Formats: sequence, C-alpha cells, structure tokens
Amino acid sequence: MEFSTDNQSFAREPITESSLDQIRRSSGWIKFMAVLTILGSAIIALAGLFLAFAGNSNIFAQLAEKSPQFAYLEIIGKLGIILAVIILIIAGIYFYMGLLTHRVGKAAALPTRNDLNLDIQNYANNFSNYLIFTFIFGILGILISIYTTIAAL
Amino acid sequence: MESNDIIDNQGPANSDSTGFNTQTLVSLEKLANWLKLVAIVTLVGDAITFIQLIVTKNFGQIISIGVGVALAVLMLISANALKEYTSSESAFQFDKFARNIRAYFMTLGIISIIALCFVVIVMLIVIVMIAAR
Repeated sequence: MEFSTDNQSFAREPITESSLDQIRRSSGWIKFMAVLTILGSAIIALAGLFLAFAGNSNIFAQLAEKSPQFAYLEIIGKLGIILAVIILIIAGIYFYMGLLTHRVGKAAALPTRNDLNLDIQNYANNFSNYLIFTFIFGILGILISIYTTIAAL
Repeated sequence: MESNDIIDNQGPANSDSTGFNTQTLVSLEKLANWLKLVAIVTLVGDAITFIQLIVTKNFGQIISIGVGVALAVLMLISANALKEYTSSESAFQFDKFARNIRAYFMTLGIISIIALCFVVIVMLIVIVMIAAR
C-alpha cells in the first residue's frame, strides 16, 4: 500500500507498520527527555538542600557582610529553610514529571506488539497524563509571565 | 515485515475490522484534546512572552519564543490529525499524527541537547574565570 496525499483513499483502512514505526522511533527521544528531567530534578533538590544547609549555617549572612553588593543574600539566608522546602517540593514535582515522561517513552515502544489496541491505549493514556501536568505548568507559566509583564510596565 | 504492511489490529472486544476498538479510539480522542489544549497554552504563553519582550526591549528570548511556536504548531498538527483519525479512521491521518509527534519529541530532544551544551560551556567559562582570579 502506497501513501498518497488523498485522504479519502485511506478512509477506514488499517494503519500501516510505517506509522507504528514512527511512534516506536520517538520512544528513544522521550526516554532521553525523561532522563534529562530526572537529572534536572536531582540538581534542583541539591540546590534546595544546599540552601537549607547554608541558611542554617549563617554562610549567607557572612557573605552579605563581606560584600555589600550581595546584601540580598542575607534575606535569602533568613528565608533559607522555607525556600529550601519550596525548592524541594518543586524538585519532587519535577521528578514525578520525569517519571511520567519515562512511562510515555516505555509505552511508545509499543512493547506487547501482539495486542496493538492495548499498546496504543497505554501510550495514549500515559501521554494524556503527561500532557495534563504540562498543561498545569503552562498555566502557571502564563500567570508568572503576566505578573512579570505588568511589573515591567 | 515490510514497512508499509497492513497491521492486524483487531482487538478482543468491541473490535472494528478496519481499525482500533472503541476504547482505544476514546483514549486517542482524549489525547488529541489534551494535545490541542497544551498547544494553545504554549502559544498563549509565547504571545505573552513576546509582549514582555517588546515592553522590556530585551530580545534575548526571541529564539525560545520561536522554538515554542514551532513545537506548538507540531502539536496542533498532531492533534488535528489524531482528531481526524478518530472520526474517519483514515490511515493517512494516523500516519500524519505519528510523523508529527515524532518530529515534536525529536525537536524537543535536540533543543535540550543544545541548551545542555550551552549551560556546560557557560559553567566552564565561569569556573575558568574564577580560577584565573
């Protein structure tokens, strides 16, 4: 069967192996994104832990005292634990996002092969869950953008 | 198996001899809706960032806006193709969805590699500058 640009000729015809192959080939890229997201969450978590430690040990207050241009560091140091908790929560959400991405990648490999309905359902459901999270983050991003735009005016 | 061989995708229940079963089509329709929503949110976000860019006259974000728009367009094309597939079960539309969603993830992956390289280079420059002091 050859593909053509004529949509009608394909109406109610079974899908082809080449279409499924495109989905399978996207699996590697999705898994790569998952690894990057999980690594990113680990870096964010480390930053949060550093902040908790530094805030507790008065490093920021000493730095602010030595260099007046970094006076804001004293405020960050005082808020250390609160900021650290917020950053750790963000890292947790980011880690969950990485796990969701990994699930999409695994499902995109269409693992069972003999039950295509099950494979595609698994892929579509995992992808939808990932998109729900992306949507929530997108809305949050828009709200932050609106706030910063108004603040810049 | 030849790359264009027809796939026997007859499901165990509610099976349709020419395509996926009803449950799979419902899942695909849900996916199409979420793809469209995320694409719209991305485009709105990019529009707001563009306004911010004009207000602040800081054109450093122009590349990120361009990438965001390109990804949103790929998502919109995928969503429309998938929606079309769930209503007509046209193999052409499913192929269009599969190709565009692969292009979406590939673009996202390549952009991430470039961003990662950029971050590593900046970090190395900072470390070298600190060491030179």
